[in-house]
Amino acid sequence: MEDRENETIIGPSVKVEGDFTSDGNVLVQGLVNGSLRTKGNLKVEVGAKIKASVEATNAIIRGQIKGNIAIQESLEIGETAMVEGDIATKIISIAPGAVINGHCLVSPAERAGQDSAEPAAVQKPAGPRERP
Amino acid sequence: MFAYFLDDWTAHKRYAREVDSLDLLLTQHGIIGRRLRLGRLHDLDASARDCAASGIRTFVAVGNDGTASKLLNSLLKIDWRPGEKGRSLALAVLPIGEEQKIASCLGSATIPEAVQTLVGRRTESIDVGKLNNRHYFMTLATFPPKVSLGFLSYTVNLLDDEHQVHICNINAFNLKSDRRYQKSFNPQDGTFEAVVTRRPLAVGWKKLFSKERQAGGYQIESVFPHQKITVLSREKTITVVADAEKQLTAPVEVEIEPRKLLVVVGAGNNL
Repeated sequence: MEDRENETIIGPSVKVEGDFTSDGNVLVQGLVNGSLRTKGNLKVEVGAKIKASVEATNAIIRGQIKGNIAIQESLEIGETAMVEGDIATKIISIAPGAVINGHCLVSPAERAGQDSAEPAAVQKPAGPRERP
Repeated sequence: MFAYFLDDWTAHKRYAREVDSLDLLLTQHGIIGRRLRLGRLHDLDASARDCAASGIRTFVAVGNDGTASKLLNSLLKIDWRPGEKGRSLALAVLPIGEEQKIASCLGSATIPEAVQTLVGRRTESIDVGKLNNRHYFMTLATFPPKVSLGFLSYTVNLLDDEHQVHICNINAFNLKSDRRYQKSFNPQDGTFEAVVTRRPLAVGWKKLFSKERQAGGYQIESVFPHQKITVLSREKTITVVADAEKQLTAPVEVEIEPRKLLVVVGAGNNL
């Protein structure tokens, strides 16, 4: 996902409250409370805080999300990301250092969120990871 | 045929040289038309209607953004549809004085450029914004600080009082070279962009070479493309600069009217 494709930019100086819906790509740098749905791609930058359920086609997450995430295609979780909620997607990549508290369902065969298989629990401490 | 609507203040001796050079160029190119001066008691709506009835198809605002805004609002009151055969009323601008955002966007930033634009008479239909179901604007509407934006299912609140809201139809920030905004600010896409900007204080060399300079000193932070936006404020009335300054009652409803206006554009247009 390149910068030039962004159609909606939620900057660091704004707070969105309510059910945000979009047909295009969304870049989040500020605060979102409620729900966030887009038919395009989603990019959550460092410093962004989302307290909402999130739905998108593809997503790159580097900020904080408190809420369930449903991504239709691929999800990339960066090292600065903090996710508190369940994740459902087709393809996932998690960078070392990312913090996830919730269940994670990755089902490549079917559309994310429609698979009946039991989700695999991913448990990670909320704090910094212990080193051996 | 052309109708030239000269703003009242263009009669001032300060603008005499510009008006003379304009007259000369119009005569040289053979595009003289009906000439009307917009005095304080002049009924612009009636004049525009008369001109349209007498077969004039190009309405030229001679003055600044305020003149173009007045003519735009009168022109859109006439019952017509852009592109309809024989009923294609077009708006053009001949710049005199300061505040020439509309003329620059249409590729008529100087008098010779504007005259060339008129001679070519290449027209484009563009979207126009409508404020409180009454006032039309072409470029952008700038709201004062401390407002919030209401969309269909969500609201956007500004966290900082120093930020400003603009609702843009045309690429008024001149950001064509910036890849991030290439898809935005298209006056023919049926949507406009609510833009939240910050104006950083630049001094010295930074003032000359900063990236924000190309956006008129504004740094764009948020962009929300939409067709209908409500601007909410704690104040009862808001001063909005939408082509020209207007006092409006809050909340201000902003709607887009797709391809409502036909404009005459030059080679260097910013659409």
